[in-house]
Amino acid sequence: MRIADLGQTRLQCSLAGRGLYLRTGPFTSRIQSPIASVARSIESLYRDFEVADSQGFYDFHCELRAPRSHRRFYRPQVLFLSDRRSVFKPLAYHQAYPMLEWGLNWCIANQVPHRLVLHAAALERDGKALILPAPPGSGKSTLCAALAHHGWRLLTDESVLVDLATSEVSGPARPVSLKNDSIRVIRDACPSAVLSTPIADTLKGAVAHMRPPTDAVRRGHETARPGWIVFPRYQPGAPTRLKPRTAGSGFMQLIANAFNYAALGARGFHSAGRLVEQSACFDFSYSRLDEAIEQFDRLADGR
Amino acid sequence: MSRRRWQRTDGLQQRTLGQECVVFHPGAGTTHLLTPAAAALMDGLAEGVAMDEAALARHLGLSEEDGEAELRRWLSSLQSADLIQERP
Repeated sequence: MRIADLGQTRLQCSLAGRGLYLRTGPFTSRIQSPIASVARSIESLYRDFEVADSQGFYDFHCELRAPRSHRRFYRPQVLFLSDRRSVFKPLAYHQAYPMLEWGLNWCIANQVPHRLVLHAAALERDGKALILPAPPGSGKSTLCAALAHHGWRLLTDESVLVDLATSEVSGPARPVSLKNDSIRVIRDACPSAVLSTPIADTLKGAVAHMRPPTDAVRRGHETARPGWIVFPRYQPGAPTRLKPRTAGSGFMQLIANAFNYAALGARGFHSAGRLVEQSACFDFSYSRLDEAIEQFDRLADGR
Repeated sequence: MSRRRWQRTDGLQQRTLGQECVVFHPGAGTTHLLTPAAAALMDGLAEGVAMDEAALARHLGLSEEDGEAELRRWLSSLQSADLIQERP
């Protein structure tokens, strides 16, 4: 069963009761929340995702609710709890849905011991993965959202999962987080993209989420073999430029963008090493999204 | 050239990536990108075997007269990263 088949009433009942068991790529998240905006956003943005068996195993237990204090009434707030433990400072109540997304990102970054987890976007074409590791503000999510609507399959905009034995790449294919100007940029560049209503005044500015394309969700279990590792950088006015990077420096930059490299020890080292050995590494600077899309098409076509 | 003997730190993990080499130190949890010269020096040091500086210089193709300062510099940076240790 998919979220779209569940219907609004059952979805709200699940969230407010024992929890919605949501399958995203290799993970099952148990999500509990009585907050109406969370239910509405899940219904719209996770429409194509599978609902898992509510008696089964889950990887993450997430709860969003108001604090049990006077702040329920005065400037209400929302808490994110993972395994019944609050892991962030409370946010304004209207930011409940972005907080769920940030919380799920936190769970993957901190609670996945059996894969190398990279802070990166990733897409797939012809079975090969394009990995875009970058710190916030580099334009990786904007690039990822645009490519996901121009011939590439979305794997993730935030958390790349690398198999420790094979270095095959996968991702949860969850909604893509867009901030500030990139919301308008994606609306213009991808008219078929479904975006949530922007939420203003978050810690990251205005935030909206893009529903992942249906095909990406349906193929969420398919891994990709390593192809390209590209370090993107958005610079206003910069020409589009793809410049090869040596494998060694690519490796060092890649592990700087890994969440759990240190915790994995030698297993993380060899997994990242295999990934780099099988990939071509580049630096990429851009300011124009249309040119960036063309550049990645050429890369995929071997031109 | 000095007869000081050097040995690779036990348990290092090493991978060659193109022309470069990366080394993981499990004890310290650190990862290092080596220059080609430092990588060649590390290659000369098999685990558990100490080599003196003259033998290392020969391994790297350095002359005894001119190569001493260069070899010292590489040994010093590898030692400060705890990738090699001096052996009595």
